[in-house]
Amino acid sequence: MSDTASFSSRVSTSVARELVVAVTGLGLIVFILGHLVGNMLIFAGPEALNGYAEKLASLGELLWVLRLGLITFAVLHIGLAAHLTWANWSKRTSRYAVTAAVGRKSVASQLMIYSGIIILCFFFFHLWDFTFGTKTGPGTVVPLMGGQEELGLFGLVWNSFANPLRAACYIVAVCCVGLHLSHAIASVWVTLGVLTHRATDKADAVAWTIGVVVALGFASIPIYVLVRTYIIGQGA
Amino acid sequence: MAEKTIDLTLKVWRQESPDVEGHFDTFPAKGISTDMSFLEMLDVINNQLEKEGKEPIAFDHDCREGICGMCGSVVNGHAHGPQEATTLCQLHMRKFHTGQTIVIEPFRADAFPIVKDLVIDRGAFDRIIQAGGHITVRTGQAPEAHSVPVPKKKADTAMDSAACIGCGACVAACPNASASLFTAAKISQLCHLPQGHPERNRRVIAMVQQMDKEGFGSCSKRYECEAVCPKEIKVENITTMNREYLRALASSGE
Ligand code: HEM
Ligand code: FES
Repeated sequence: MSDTASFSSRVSTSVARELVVAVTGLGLIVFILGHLVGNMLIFAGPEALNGYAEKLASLGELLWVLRLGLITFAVLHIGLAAHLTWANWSKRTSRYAVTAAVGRKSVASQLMIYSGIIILCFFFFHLWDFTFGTKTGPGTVVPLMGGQEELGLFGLVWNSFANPLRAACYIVAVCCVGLHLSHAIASVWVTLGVLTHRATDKADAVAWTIGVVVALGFASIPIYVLVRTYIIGQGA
Repeated sequence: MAEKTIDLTLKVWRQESPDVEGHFDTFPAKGISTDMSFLEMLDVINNQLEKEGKEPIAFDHDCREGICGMCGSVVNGHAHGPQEATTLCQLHMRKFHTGQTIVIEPFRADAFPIVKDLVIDRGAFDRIIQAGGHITVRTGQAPEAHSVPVPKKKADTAMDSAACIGCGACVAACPNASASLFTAAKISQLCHLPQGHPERNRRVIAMVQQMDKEGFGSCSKRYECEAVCPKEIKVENITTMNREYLRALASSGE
């Protein structure tokens, strides 16, 4: 009894860890969706995107509170998910000679840790590239836009994506986010104790849809820049 | 209907004892009646082996009518064989065809040590049940039936969960060798009933802790368990277990 009652033993079970992965995962999804909506401002031109970036920057301390929250969520999510995955790998040391997957789940569910690792690597590259990138000077001048004008974050992003190799890396990374979500958004409702048997198909469909929307939404930006740069290169 | 027979090749996992390395033995299985059950087919092979002075294949079984949960092997990658919602003892040889090679392996999970050949030790399941502990029922005279009303829907849900025979196919099929479906079914069959309520918080914590302690993995929602379960226990039980766990975390003490 005392064993089950102790707080630390209650929160260190596999189920408790999964609950934390689920809650932090949901938090990260809220961030990702907000990020996606913000990014769409790029289609409204330099002023819209730069204005949005300035507004975020003007949050000052609040921005750092949000960032710390995000970092905490990410650390918990990644740490516990990786730990669970690692533990799960050692539960069957004698392998089956023949295996036949019969469950309803697709590749996305098998690739969670791998899509996650790619997202993590991409996260650091992405910070270095944009968050800490120089938003003034020649790197922000977009030749395509005719003038010599420095275009701030907009220019930085544009020039980054005008490099096909870099654009390709971004597209692969956001597809991994989409893949991760296409399983995660269905799975999370089981972990949080709300998914009924009857709603399983619907949850899969919703997760898949959001995964595709997120991947296509983020990928639309590098694709747009590539198309404008190499195919229909006219002024903005 | 005329009896039909088929000729098969069996590749069977042989392992002397828990600690020695196992290997596959190959046997011809000729003239197998398609009316036989899978276990009857193994009986026939074992009779032959004994006649030849060889060690028969060790496998578990008891009721042979799909209710006890003793039988079970992985047949060509499928726990309990290729037919849905069917225990190995209820599987018939008409599901196979002449010339087929059948690979028969034990349910593999580190928490289920192999005793011999296809026989595994499922004691870990017993210990999970034991960790769940008692439910509060008054002993003595049977209470008046109407004194404890149970809504029909809840009774049905509990009954569906109680269909679990504890065979271990969910663990065998899970890529993480997780016992979540089993444990969840045992939690769900009690938490929906008034008799199971007083201990519900303590029960879910204790059973999950025991599940971890036995060396089972966690649930990655791959639904392999649901697909192989001979009693069609649904992943919704795992949803219930997680909800019960959340409730227990939220409530302080009992
Ligand atoms: C864009 C950022 C991310 C979001 C929105 C996200 C979201 C989620 C969600 C909602 C789940 C489902 C949790 C559940 O089923 O209960 C999940 C699972 C998982 N995530 Fe993430 N995640 C992100 C990044 C990462 C990263 C960077 C890693 C690891 C390096 C990772 C590794 C995993 C793993 C391994 C699982 C499966 C855990 C299991 O089923 O046992 N995720 N993620
Ligand atoms: S022998 Fe009892 S369920 Fe198969």
